Amino acid sequence: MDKEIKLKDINMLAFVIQTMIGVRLLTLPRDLVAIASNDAWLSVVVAGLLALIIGYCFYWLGVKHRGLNISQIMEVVLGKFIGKIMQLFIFAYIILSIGLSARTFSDSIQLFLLDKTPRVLVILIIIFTCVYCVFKGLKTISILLDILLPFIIFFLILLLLLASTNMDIDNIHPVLYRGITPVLSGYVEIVHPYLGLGVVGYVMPYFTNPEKTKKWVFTGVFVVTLFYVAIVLMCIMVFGSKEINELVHPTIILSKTIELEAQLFERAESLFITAWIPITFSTMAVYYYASVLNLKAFLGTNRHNLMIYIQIPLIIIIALFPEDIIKAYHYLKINSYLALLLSIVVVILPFISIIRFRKGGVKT
Amino acid sequence: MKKQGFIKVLLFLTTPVFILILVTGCWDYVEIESRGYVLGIAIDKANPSPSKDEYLSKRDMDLMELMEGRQKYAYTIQIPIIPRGLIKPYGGATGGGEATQKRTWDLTVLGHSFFEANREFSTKLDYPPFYEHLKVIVISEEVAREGITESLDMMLRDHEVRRRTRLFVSPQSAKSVLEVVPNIDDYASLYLEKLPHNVHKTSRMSHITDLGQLSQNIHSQVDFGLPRIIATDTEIKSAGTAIFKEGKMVGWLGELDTYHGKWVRDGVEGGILLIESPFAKDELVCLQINTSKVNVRPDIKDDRITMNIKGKSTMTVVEVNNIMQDYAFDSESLDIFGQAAKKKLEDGIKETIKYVQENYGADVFHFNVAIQRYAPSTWDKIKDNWYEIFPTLSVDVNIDIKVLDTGLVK
Amino acid sequence: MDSRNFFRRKGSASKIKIHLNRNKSDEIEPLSLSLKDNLNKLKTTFEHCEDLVYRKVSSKKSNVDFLLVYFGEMIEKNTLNNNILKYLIHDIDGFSKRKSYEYSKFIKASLPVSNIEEVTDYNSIIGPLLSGDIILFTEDCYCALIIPAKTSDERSIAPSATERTIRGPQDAFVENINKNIHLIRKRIQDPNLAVEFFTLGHSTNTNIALLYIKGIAKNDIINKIRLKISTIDSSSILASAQLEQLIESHKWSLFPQTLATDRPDKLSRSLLEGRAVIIVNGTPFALIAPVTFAMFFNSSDDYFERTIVTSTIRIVRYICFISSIFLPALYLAMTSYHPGMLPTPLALYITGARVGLPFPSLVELVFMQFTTEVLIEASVRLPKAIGQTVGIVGGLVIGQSVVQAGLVNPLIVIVVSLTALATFILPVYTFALSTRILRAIMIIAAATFGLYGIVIAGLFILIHMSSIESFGIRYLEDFSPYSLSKLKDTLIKAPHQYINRAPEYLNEKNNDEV
Repeated sequence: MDKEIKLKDINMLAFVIQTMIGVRLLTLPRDLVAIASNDAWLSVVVAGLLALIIGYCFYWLGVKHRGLNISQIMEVVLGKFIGKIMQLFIFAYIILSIGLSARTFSDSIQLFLLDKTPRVLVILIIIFTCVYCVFKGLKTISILLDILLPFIIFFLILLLLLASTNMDIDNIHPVLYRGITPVLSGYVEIVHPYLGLGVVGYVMPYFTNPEKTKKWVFTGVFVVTLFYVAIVLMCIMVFGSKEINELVHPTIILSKTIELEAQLFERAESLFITAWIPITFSTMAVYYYASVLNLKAFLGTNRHNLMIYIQIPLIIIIALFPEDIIKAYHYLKINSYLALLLSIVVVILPFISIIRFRKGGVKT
Repeated sequence: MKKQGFIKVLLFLTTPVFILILVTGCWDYVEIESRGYVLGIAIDKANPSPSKDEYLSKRDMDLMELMEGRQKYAYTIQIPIIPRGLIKPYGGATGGGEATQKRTWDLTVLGHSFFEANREFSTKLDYPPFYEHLKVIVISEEVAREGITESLDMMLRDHEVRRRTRLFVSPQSAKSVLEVVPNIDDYASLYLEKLPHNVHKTSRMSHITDLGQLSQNIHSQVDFGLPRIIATDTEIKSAGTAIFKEGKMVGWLGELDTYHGKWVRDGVEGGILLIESPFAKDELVCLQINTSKVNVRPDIKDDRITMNIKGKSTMTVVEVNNIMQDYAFDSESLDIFGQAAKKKLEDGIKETIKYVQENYGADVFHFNVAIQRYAPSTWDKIKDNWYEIFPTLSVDVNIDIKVLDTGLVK
Repeated sequence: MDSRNFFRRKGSASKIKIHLNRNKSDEIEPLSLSLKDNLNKLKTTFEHCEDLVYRKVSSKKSNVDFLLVYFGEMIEKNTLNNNILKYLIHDIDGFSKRKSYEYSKFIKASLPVSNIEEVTDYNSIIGPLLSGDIILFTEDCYCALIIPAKTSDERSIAPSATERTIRGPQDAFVENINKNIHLIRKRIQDPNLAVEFFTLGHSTNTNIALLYIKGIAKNDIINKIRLKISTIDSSSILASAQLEQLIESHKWSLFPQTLATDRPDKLSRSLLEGRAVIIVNGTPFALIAPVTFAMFFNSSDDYFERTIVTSTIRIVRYICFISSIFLPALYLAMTSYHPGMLPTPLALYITGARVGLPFPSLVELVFMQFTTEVLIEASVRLPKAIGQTVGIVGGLVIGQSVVQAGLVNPLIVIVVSLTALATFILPVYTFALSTRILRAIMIIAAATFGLYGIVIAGLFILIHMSSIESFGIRYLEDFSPYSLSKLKDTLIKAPHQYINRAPEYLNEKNNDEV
């Protein structure tokens, strides 16, 4: 059934952008500023360049090992045993990402939209929406992402434009005062959302012309980097690095500073947190789909729907497990290191593949 | 086919759950009319502070028993009174028109923590207070002089309060400002909120005064100013500045000093500059500010810090005192106007900076921010004894003024 | 007449096939040589059919006996009298020169009626007889003749009542399938226009025509439709609406997966785009398949007006569609969940309107929504003259007095009536109907979870819409793999020369590429 899905190369754009822009963007400026202070935006630029490399690795692997997703490729390239371990890591990474996304997301929903509604319900609803979406298959996800993309980009641009009325460009000074090291170490924070690129490795087998997707992977990474840089930069310019350190959700607070004299709407943050629901949802749904494919490869089974259902309780437990917001961020940090590990593996994977399969063609 | 069966079972199981959710749900559903929209908050000192057992004997509704602390502040919230049937096609119209009717409900509670007071309001108010439409916070001078961070922390922490809520400091009691019955507007809070929009007309009021800005200033440990307001029964005037040093108010800045201070902070959005005509004595020329851009940069030579205040501005002649005044309509005369304006403005700015340096020692001009940004290494050396250095800073002001236009007559 | 000939033969062939299926036996039952036997056999088959006429005549010149069987109400009397009876009785001559088994061939050649068919099988005469043809038996001849003589007392071609245009052609489909095909043929004079006939329904024997243009329409899609139609096993198909339900793959979906219209110009355009058209005898509404979401926003008038105007109106329609679903829910969420999002003066104004009203906003909204539904239903069903009265009673009397009585907030009346108006702007009625249900879902979502509920419910609907497909074409195909050429006739309408080509996903030529 899955093999019938045929995606066009331009579909890759929405996949890349929407998986990389997720709920993490709400808190990212603070984490970055805590490390790199004024130069946080340079961290994002550096991360963007590294993401291009990672994206190319995924693309290269997908083209070389036609018809296999990244979990299967790991098994082929690294051998069965290490491959399985890597798949386990991927599983942990993805499921943690989904669970914690749901958690941080429900936190912000509670803060800005629904005060008294039980958190469990907020989490359950978004997870069931994801399940429904994943259940409908990849083609549906792809169409959905394509439709959501213009809206999401519109909202991000709107946020940036409206917030820009309060900005003070001088806030980015001094540039690189504390040297390049903090800038580079900021990468740890941003690698997590950037590993959303991994989706390339999972959807690649379903494209009619995998070779042609390169352009769109790079465009996607470029657009995402542009938005990340713009948002981090805008946060710095509006608040100054010291203020960001004190804010839990800098990106939402950014929308909170917006004031329209025309009085069309007030409390822009409610509007933007509403716009954030589809953003979070799309990330979670794609991660979920990747997780299903990964699990299928791990367990060597073909039961698509079963793989969907068995993950529901796991995700809910992970989402509800952290007792407080501090703990949740702690787990998020662990997940970031997991992401760092995986991204390193992905970067060295092509080299191993070249060495192992130097002679003869690749068996697929 | 098996798959389909499973979905059906799943649907069958989840449907009752969802129905239950719907039936018991609506946790956050509150009718729009059953919220108490707090439009303004006034913070005064509870003066004189009542003794411990007074609130039991005295039947004062404003008093409450505290969990911790003492009755330090008098918090007042302003809630609009919306007449019944405001927009009914028939019958309702008669209800709204009476001028004598009270438009707002100002509740006061004495306490220490604002949040405790906030909950105490619910003992008197049948509508839960709702802060998402909070427009203004007025602080009395007495409170400000003791430090404003204490009473405002909840405003920064709470998600309901908007970051654009405006703050004002009043030399009189803050409650009396909220009790103003405006002539046109319905509520004093809305009236007060709209005042800073006039910043394009005059630069005598400080306008960047919202909570977000305050939060930034406090967190980056810089000094700041808040607008001064004075109220009568029906009018409020916003002009001048209250100067804060390390979170505590240290004094007032007059209207003209505020004007000059705004030049330094690059906060001028409009307004005028009045000079004596360079062509005739005792005649005045009024210039309107069109654009202005001022940069403050530190200039460090051999451990001596000079603040370079450089700016550019364009102005228009809007009024000349003597209609028959005689000057040539050429660029030279316009330049002469510009020179005169430049001198006048630079003198004023220098004077104001000197005044603040000598009297308050509060860095409301954000010179420290400029040093942090453009000379971070110097800042690391001097940041510990900044308040000793600040009064001794020398200032170099250089603002170019170009007069572009003389209006409809030459 | 030409076009009629063309289909006639094909039609009867498939009729026979279906008819055989019905009797569950493939054996051929030959006709008897004797008129009497045939008559008796028919009389047992049509035992209670008192409107069946058995008419015995004999030729005056040759003394040959004929038996004419027909349903008296269904045939054209003129044809029977002038072209058949008169001829058989008075004019025909020359039987004596021929052998008896050649009689029928001879009559067929000499009767001044077109499209006569010769059959030898008893079972194959029943279908045509039921559909209004005259069956002619000849003594001593094993062949019967089927003489088409259906009455044409059908409605003449008139402007469409459901989809009116201002500058477009003013003709519309009628109940007769042949007339309808004729209307299409008139527009597309192309030998590649294929017409395939099916007969469906055990009891109704409804004629169904599948039209498409060879070389433009994708074979995959046509095969899918053909398969769907031929596997239908239903006893009755009275109208295209039933066929629609039988062939669509998502039966519980709120969104129609075929587009019903009675406008030949719209159908022709769809054919030229590479879609298939299914015409059902007895219904003026033909079905277009496959359809995409964007098609429901195209009105016929779009193609007869200027580009910029049309594009603007299209965008207005999309906005109306969205607001007809979301507006009441948004109102509820904004006022009851997030009044902080409203500008302060507006929030205070709404509060002022709500103070003192006895019911919660939700109840008010549901009540007014219900009233509107009732009014709409009432005015659709009633005769035109009374329909307007309903509008006045509903709009003015109820709307105004409900506000005056202090039961409903006037803003709710505005919201509900705006929503109703927004629904009316959608060109396809079936589609407009489904927005009502979506609106109700949204109101429930908003009442439970505010804006969060609305967005999640919207996502659910979007997921559903992305997942459904109409004969292999995704419902949202117009938007999904981004392509500028798709925009030409969806969100906006480009000038005619740019949209001449069929959409890529429907085009046979791009088949291998997709």
